[in-house]
Amino acid sequence: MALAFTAPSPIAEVSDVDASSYTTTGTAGANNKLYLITVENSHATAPALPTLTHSGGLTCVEIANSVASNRRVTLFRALKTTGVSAGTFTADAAGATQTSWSVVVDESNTEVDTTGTDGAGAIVQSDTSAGSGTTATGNLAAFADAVNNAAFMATMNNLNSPITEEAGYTELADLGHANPTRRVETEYKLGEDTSVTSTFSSAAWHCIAVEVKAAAGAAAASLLWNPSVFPLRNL
Amino acid sequence: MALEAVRVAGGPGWSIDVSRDTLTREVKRLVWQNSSGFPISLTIRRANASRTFNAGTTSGQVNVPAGYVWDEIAAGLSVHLTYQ
Repeated sequence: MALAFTAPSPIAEVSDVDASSYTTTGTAGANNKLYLITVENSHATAPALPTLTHSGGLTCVEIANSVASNRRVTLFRALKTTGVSAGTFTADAAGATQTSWSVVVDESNTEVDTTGTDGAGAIVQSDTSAGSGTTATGNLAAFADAVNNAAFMATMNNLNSPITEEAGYTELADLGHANPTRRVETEYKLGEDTSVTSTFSSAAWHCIAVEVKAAAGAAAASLLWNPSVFPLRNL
Repeated sequence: MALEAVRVAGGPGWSIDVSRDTLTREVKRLVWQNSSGFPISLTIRRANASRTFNAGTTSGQVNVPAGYVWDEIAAGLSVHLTYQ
């Protein structure tokens, strides 16, 4: 079986209520699955770097964040092989009131590399990019495994209109809010892509792309010989 | 010319700032701190041009050619890390 992510995202929530933290209503969490959690938070100036906790036993570790004057997007990873149960996620700004929050939780299947601590072995590389225009591009290097690993990207822009995934990708979430206007989208595709994109109406954008490592033995496609269907014969 | 440091990206053990002119917002330097143990590659972009730099030391900075304005409209920046 091949590495894949649950579509749509198990948790995709936004809030434009001023608050110093946000706890998801939805729950997620299971053993041996990689969680990639995208958190957006906004503030008039210097948006906080949030922490992220899980009530069901996962430890969330920041991969990277991209920040502008009034908004930040942070991508976290989490994975444990034992002791995980479904729980809520809480993004927290340590008492500093933020003007909006978005939390998108994406969940892989169990065909992901589980080595390392909290999913460290599952992330091969990351790209954190920012710019302005109609296309966000995450620039990844050649994949460690061009067939079995997957490309994943989270996009955030400051315009609350739909974000479209790159052709061939599966969109996992696409949601936003007003006051302030922000949009978050996540997408993934099995196999190498060194230029991951998403498109939208022109806006300032941020994206974080990662290469996700498949478990040893995970196969993007398999051809199995079934002797009952194709018996060997002496020709 | 007054310069200001603007934090644009970060992660565990690393951060990237652009040092820009407070009036024109033209980027003068890219400034990094990196104790993550992973190599970082920085690429700054504008229309029809880009420059890539390797942030190979724990801290440092590199001058950026003229014409890269960081005002959320004109320039873009990519930060690449390889963990394995």
